[in-house]
Amino acid sequence: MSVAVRRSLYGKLAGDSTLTAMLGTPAPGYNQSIYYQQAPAEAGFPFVIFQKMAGTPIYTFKAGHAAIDNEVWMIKGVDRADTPDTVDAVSSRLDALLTDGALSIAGATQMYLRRESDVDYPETADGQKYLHSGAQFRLMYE
Amino acid sequence: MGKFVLIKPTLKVNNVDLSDHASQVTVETNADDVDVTGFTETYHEHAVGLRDATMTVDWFQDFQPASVNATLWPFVGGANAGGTVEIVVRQADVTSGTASYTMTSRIFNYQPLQGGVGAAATINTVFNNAGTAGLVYGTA
Repeated sequence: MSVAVRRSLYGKLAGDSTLTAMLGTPAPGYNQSIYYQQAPAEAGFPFVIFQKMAGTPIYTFKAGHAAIDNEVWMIKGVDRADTPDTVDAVSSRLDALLTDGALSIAGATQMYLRRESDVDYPETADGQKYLHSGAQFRLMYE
Repeated sequence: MGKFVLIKPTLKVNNVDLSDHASQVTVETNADDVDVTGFTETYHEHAVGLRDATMTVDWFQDFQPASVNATLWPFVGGANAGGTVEIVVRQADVTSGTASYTMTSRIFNYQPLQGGVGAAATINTVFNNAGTAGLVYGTA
């Protein structure tokens, strides 16, 4: 289900004009500054990164597939700046979109989606400061 | 049937297959331990008293028609009509060596909703024996 979930999350984020208006210029070949797992080197700032951090299937006696998939996704904004105002605004928008937000997961029914723990830290590389702000979201679907 | 890992037993309640909502089961039968020791004896003498049986199941609750709640409710609501519970255990891809346990039962304690925010809604039910045959073991 990872493909369907990944696409549903991307669709949710990319379909929000308020969020996309906050983001930088997409890297060549991309429609939005929203990237899965890793941003390309040419990505403009700020951008959004999302990736699955954990997935725990819950089984019943019925054979074939998990009854419930219980996943944690890290979804965060990344900015190259000295002030966190912009990346914090991206983070707030992500929360507004995703906590209790509805996803369209092909072949599955969403049961739960909420912000579970915040992700907020600075990073310095080659003398440049980067700011990360977002959260880990728990997603359950059957 | 050799050693096996419990993966996909079939669990039916009043002939409704609820296997896709059950995640754990315990089948138990026991008997009262009756002491029939006489005055002249040096060891306790135990006799088998009345027997009893239960089946305990963990469910993912579901309020859809013909699902968990709709199937269990007749066991506890109104006249407590009870019903039949059957579990069939078989090793994957093996057609012989199947074991089944069947029991006419009632539920005396039902909590249709348990859980907290962000957790799957699960419930636990204990099916108590309600028939003269008790727990019936079968093979196939």
